[in-house]
Amino acid sequence: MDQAQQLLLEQKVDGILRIPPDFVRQLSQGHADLQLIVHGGDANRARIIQGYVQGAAGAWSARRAAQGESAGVTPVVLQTRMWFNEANDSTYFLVPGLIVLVMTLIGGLMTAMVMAREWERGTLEALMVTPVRSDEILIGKTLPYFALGMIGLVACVLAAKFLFHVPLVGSLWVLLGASMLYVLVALGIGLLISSWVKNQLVASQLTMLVTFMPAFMLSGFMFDLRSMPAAVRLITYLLPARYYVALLQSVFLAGDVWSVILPNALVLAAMAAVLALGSHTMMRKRL
Amino acid sequence: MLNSLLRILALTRKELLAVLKDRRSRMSLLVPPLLQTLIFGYAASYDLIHVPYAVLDQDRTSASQQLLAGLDGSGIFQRVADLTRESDLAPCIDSRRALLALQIQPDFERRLLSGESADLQVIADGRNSNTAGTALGYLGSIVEQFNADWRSSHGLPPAPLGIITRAWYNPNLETRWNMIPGLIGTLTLIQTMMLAAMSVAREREQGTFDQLLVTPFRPYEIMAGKALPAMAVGSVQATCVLLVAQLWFHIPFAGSYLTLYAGLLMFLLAAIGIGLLVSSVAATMQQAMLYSMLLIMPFSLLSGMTTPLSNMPRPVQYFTDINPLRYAIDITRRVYLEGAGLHLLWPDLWPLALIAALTLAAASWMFSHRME
Repeated sequence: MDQAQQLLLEQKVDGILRIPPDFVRQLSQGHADLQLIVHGGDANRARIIQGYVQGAAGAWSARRAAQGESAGVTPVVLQTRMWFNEANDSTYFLVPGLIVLVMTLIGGLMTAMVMAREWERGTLEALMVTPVRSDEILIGKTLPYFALGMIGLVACVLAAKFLFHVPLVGSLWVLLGASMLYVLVALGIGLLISSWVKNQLVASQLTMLVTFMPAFMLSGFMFDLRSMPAAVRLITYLLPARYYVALLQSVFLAGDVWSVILPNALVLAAMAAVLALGSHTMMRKRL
Repeated sequence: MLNSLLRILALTRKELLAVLKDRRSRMSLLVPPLLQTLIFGYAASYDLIHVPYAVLDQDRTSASQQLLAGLDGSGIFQRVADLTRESDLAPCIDSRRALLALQIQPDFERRLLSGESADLQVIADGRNSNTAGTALGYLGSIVEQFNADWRSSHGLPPAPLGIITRAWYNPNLETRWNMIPGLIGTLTLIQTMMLAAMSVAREREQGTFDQLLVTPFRPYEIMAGKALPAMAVGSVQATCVLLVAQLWFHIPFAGSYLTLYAGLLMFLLAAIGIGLLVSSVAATMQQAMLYSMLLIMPFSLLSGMTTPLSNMPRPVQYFTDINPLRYAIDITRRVYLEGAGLHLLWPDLWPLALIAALTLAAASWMFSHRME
């Protein structure tokens, strides 16, 4: 047992299965227990291992029953089907989630840096005195990054499809539309932050903190939103990434489910509008 | 030697002043780790508390009711819909109203009473297959319990084989116990690495780097002067996260703080080395930012915090060999939960030392050879 524990600590094994000495005798009397010891350090993994072992034990019991070696059948048998991802392949939800992260970075971070740089160097003021209107400056400054975001999206979708073999069940148009909305929102956040702090270092750190990390942790990409405490769940409603993750997961895996697409797209559109208005007034005021 | 040390200290002081003189920049280094640990500490868990499910009970007998009562009584499963038609199952899943949809066939109780197996059909929303898998696991244990109850109340022999599971180091398998220690490295990596990456790029952009190069500073002194402040900021941030983990979440801590800090310092050195290397390559802050993002993203995704490394494809696993965060997460988790000492952490420490040595040497070489 000491040896087994050592192996577990050195991470050479993931679990220890202990078969008690009187296993066969117990089994002949109708019931025997196996002991499974897992390393709880990675609780999720431990639980999966537990599930696999339980499944193997169940299959073994069923086979014995079928061969008439033991009495009794399992009363209720679970017949599970995992829709949209029959093979339970985790790349199916990881890849759409990654697209969200990439879009967040291109949209938010790049814009924040560009505008903060202009503020830092004072070149924005120089632009302001030219006959170009402030809205035109805004659009001209963000359009390249919008285009960059779209190029990024195409690259991501191609990679998802041909490199990771994630199916795109829904339509490309819905995917494109949703992504445009999201990139607009990300651009807006970048603009707002940069015109607020006007310092590249702080702008980049701040954008990172309010876009990338939340998109990673609080968007429903990794962790189930329904199981977060109410206060944290409230915060997630403010995050654009949450809506985009829902959209992408549905469009990629489930298809054009309008009951998911419409509400989420509407929220993104509203956010984009508010942010556009916000950066417009911010630009005015900051002159 | 002493002069060199004094020069390094002077540069360190100047760097710290540059970072800390601005109130916003000061706040942006201290408040986020605290706030993030609090929020993410609650969010980062694979444990489910709410599993909405829909049920189509075509049997409507005491047996099926008993099974559903087991679900409803668990406190985790919430019945959001009682369906009457089979065609209603799909919309419930599609619209994400329910995570699981259960179907109990009309002959459910009859089969059970006659000693046959009865199927419980379950559809799970696999859009996040991880969540779906966990929910199915919970359902499995409730069905198991139902089976055991049914067997004993109907005089059936118990199942031939039982599995008794024990989880060492985390008896209740709380994912929070390994997520929050993982946050120490993850949250510190981002800001420390970016700080290091931006430090030289900023000087270069503002033209002050050339001035620095004509001073008596040697390249390695400049580098040490850039690395030390970032180390200090990183240690303070790591301590913030650690304090929240200990005082707020009460994560049990089995090891020694000395070991933990030894590991963290080695990790910070490696992260800063990478940051400085980025800094020495980049010409502007925007480039530095972009390059470090291109590294931070895979580093934080492929660190083993959210998905086990051993499940990743082989080429990806090779990439994780140069990921300092991967080692840091392993170190913090093992010190926290197992109470591992330095000798057990050796496989994590030497790669970190190697990364730090290589990147710092390369960055220092770049500094002295890339004067524009």
